[in-house]
Amino acid sequence: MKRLLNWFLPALLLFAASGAPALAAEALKPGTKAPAFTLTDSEGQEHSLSDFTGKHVVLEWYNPDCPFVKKHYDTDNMQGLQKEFTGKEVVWLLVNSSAKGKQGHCTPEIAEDLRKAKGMHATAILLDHDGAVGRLYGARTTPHMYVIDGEGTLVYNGAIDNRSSAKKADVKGAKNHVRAALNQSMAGEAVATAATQPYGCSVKYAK
Amino acid sequence: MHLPIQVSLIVLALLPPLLAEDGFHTRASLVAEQAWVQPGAVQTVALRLEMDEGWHTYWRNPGDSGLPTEISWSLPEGLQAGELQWPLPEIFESEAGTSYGYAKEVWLLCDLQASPTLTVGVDIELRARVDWLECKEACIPGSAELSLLLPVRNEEPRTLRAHRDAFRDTRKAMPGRTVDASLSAWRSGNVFHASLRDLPRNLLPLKLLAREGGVLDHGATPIIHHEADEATLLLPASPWLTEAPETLKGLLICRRKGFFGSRRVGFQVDIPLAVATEKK
Repeated sequence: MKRLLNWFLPALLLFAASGAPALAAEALKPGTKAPAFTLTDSEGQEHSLSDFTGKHVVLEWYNPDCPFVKKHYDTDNMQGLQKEFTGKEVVWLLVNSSAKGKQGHCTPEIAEDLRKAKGMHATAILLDHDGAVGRLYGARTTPHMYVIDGEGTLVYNGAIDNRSSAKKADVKGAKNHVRAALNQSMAGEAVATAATQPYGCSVKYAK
Repeated sequence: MHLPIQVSLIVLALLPPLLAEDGFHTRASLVAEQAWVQPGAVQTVALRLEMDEGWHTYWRNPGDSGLPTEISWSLPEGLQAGELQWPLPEIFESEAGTSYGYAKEVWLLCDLQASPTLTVGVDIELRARVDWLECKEACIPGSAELSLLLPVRNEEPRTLRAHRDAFRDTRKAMPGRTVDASLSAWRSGNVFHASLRDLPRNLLPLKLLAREGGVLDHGATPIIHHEADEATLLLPASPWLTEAPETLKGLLICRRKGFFGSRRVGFQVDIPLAVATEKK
């Protein structure tokens, strides 16, 4: 019986994947190559992942109206993290996959206003309004964080920290998984916690 | 209209408590099952959540996004609250994944154990801070400070007629504590296998949800293999599972066929995971 199931597994899994929603059933695994993408930012400039070879890259899924995102911006937690690591040559990319007409949709103007108003230290705000890159990465929530090393290998996929709540008071004392992953990877060490379940609002993808 | 301040305060005090939660799409309240608390007995209290049309709150494992409802009690000495009991959740699918929760209305139950030394003849106040996340398209974190005043009497508690049906229906929707079957589970690569042997014939397994996040892939459709007296559920692991749990803590959802039709029922299952068969 068990052998039969194991034999059937690949076929069965394919079937399972086809029944899942628009997202890839398999999330990207740390240790694998981060998928290539090209997106235009809020200033009209194109960025490809390959432009940043040799540098660590952070992808932060962003929806300004999501309470979980606000938790980390209203407390300056996210800006602080951005400042700390962009100061160390890390490329920090916000990705906005909210479709037109959906919560948190950022036009280039809105994105630029937010960047100033919130005091962000991100390298760029990428606009992914058809959700193609979000789906490619399997981004499920805002925030959902990815860390990619200088060789283009994904080293972290998951939550920003270990306190899945929308409470601002929970920022203090939380273990920040992104900081830990960046510090370990930049020191040439293996990332101890390389995958966690992200928490937050669902990404407001186009139908 | 200029009312004296005393009158205004009285009017304010008489307003229904839901005004305090203005701006939210969920109204929260505490409801007692019985008219008084008896020392040494159990009083069941419900956290009643009423959601506006289209809005939902979450189950203990919210799924791919969302947050479970939390209650934090401030109880007088001599009362102890048990864990929240969650009725069978609904499954919500969206472009961004799968989540588990409740639309329209849900009663989350909590058993309060009264100490035998509880003072009789006085009213006690049960207070609770409740936090929830309510979502339609967008999500709003909601919270409320709730309170319920109950007398303490040394006689068999009387069930409040007004709430009797709601408590009965809520209990009907609670997962059973065990299922009458022999259960085993193992993990093979990225897939958990849960085997249910000799399940009662009127039960058709449909799904198995993990009671905690990060274990099973919430979005995957389970594959169910039937063979003689055994049903085996193939459950893809969560993409974020790093350390395999020792026990698969699940909620088994079945269709129960009865004389007058069938309905969805749930069972709490805790299946120890055999590690020997794990393979890359």
